[in-house]
Amino acid sequence: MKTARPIHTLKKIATLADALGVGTLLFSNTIFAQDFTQTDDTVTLTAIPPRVGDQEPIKLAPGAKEQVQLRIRNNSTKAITINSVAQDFMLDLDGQTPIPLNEDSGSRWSLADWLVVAPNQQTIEPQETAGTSVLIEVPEDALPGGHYAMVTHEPTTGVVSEDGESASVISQKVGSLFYVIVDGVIHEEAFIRDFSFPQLTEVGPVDFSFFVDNQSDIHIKPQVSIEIYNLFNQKIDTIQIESKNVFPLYSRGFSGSWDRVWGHGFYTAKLIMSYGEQGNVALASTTFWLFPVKIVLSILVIILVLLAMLISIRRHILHKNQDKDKQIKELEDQLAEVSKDQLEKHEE
Amino acid sequence: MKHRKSKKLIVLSTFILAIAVAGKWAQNSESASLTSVSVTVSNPRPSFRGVLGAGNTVGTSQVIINTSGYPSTTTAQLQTDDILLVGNAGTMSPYTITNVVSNSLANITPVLAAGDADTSDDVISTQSAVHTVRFTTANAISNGGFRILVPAHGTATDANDGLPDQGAFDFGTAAPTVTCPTDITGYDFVTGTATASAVTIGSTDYHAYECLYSGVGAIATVFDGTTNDAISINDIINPAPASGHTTGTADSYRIILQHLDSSYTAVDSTTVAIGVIEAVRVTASVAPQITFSIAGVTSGSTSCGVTTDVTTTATAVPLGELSIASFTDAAQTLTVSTNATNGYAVTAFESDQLGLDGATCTGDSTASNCIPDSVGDNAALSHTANDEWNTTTVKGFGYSLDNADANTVAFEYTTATGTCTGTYCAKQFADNEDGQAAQQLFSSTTVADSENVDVCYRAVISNVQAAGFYENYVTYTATATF
Repeated sequence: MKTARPIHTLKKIATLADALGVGTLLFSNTIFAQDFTQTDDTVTLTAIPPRVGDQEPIKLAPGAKEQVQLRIRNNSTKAITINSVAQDFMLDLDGQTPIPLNEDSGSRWSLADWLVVAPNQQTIEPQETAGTSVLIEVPEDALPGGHYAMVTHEPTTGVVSEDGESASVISQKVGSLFYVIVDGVIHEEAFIRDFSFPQLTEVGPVDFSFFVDNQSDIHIKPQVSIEIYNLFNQKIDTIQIESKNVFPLYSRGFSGSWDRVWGHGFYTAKLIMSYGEQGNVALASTTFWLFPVKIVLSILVIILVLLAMLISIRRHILHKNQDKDKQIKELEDQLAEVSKDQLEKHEE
Repeated sequence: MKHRKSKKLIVLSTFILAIAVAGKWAQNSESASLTSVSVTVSNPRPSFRGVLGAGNTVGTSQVIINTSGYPSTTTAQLQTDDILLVGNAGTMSPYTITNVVSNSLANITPVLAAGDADTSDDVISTQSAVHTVRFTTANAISNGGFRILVPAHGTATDANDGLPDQGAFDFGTAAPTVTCPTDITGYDFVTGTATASAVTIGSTDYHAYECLYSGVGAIATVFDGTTNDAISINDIINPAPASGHTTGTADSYRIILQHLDSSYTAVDSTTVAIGVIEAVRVTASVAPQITFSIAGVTSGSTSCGVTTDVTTTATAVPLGELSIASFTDAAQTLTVSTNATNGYAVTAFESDQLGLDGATCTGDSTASNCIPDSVGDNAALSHTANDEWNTTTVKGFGYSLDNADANTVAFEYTTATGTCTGTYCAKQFADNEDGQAAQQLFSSTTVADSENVDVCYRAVISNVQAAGFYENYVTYTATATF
């Protein structure tokens, strides 16, 4: 533990040495300068694996036991003594961030009390990996469904200042999430909520979002795809959504975008979600427009203006021609009249 | 008289000998070595020529080879994706290596077909290479040519059957392409030719690859692939391991480069050696993992837009003697790497507010023996909401974040939201004593490689703060996302 505070230890010795009159000799500034650089001593721990029972479910009957092996690697430059503990967790509102609970949660999803970590304390040399066994002991009266906990590994090197300095002592935990399923009658039910695209998008890509509301006794990892249909009900695209776990009685948000730049009008999006061990399916649909309204309107306006200009020019030319015809006719009339007058005079 | 005669004879003999030596010397001076000669082989791996061992079964994806008595006795010569021909010569079926299990065992696809699983069936995997020959001429030879001689099997029919030969290069069933240099002054090259087992020197047969030219040639013409083109020969089949071959030790073969004159006589000649050796197989396994690192930051560093006042370690933030009139700033660097799908999340909480000698500070205690969590300049700062905190008259302890490259961070000291204008936006640590749940600091929804965030600590005390030593514990937890 003292290795964590070399400055303080040396300062104490320096004070003692000063009192003995040999401080100047023993503790030059150079020594403290070396200590100064040593304080920036990184502690790096690796937990292997990050999740247990996620890809390959751990399904146990009430009363059953199973042992799982974890590994912890010390990537630091000094030996570290590690405490390993099992803790329950809840999820943050984002539905994905595990928040460790420091006390017994008493939750229906609790798992920590069923986990026995051994050894729960061990010293790991630099750049070495140690193993820890986690024994899962499911009680006889365990409720069927999902049960969750984290096993974290924490160095014990954090110490409170011993020489009168105020301090925050830092505790660093890295751990593995446990997903355990207790066999039995497990209710599976999930809903799609708030599936929406923007009502009108002029130019893609078109963003969309939805929530998966898991009302099951167990977490689900839904497989979701969205099919896009055009105005004529022809499927023109399918979007695959990355699968994520959804905790029991939680809603988790999903989002994405339809990677299409130009659209021709009205579209229907149909969401198909399969989930659970029993092959349940949930459906949802929504409609939206992908149409470049402003661009089309602008083009229409330009066309109309051009058309108006053409009509105007044509009219102007026609009008001008009509004027000329009129003038010719008037001149012809005048000429005829003059000719008539002259003829009459000549006859007279 | 007799003495005079013998004297004349000695003088005459000496003269003839001198002429002979001079003539010999002159002849040697014409027949010089080509210089800067090198032969680069694009693939130095030996071809595989072995047989099936006992225990192979039709329909299985594993092939067991015989580990003695044949040129190839170990699968160390094989690699994933190599094409393996198995069966009796003439009716061999192709398989692809999917994994080398041991020195005698490899996995293949598709499964072994009927007729391909018998003990002593041939197992062949050819390795071909491009030989690039670079050199500098020694003499100007008109209307000559360059000939490369590559060791061939002593039996002509075996030397060009497309099957690897032990201790010799196979010509292949079709003549390899010889690419001659582009024409330059003095050299007007014709299309290169290749002839199997064309030359015998001593007791060794050689395949001949030739680039003939018309022109006067030149002294010291460089054909190195840069100044002028080198000669390249495609698809020569590498030998199977030589007799007595040791895995990891190269089998050496002598390649002869000759400069021919117009009568097809080698005027200049140089011999170089090339090695054929197994590739080193590198294997590794990757486990899903998450790595969390905390590093101290030295005083005088800049973090969250301020200069830190104290040096921190990975395990402690020694705030030292706190001031009434000025902030004490400190920082640590948190780093996360993971290959877990859907990423990671880092949360934080404090055990309690900073208490005198670790005393409990119940709730949001403002007692003189507690340094409270700061409420910010606009009294809006909490463990869930950030607020500006630039005024030293607002006392307490809090933190901010300075994101280097994390995918998502809860907030930053520059995040101008709510009542924070973005100079030093801060939050309180979630107070475990007060029942507050840990808060997420930063996260990623995908894999991460050394994503860094600085956590900046800030404290300032009131003039009624009881003297003494204050402490609390801050816990950071890094896990995969759910």
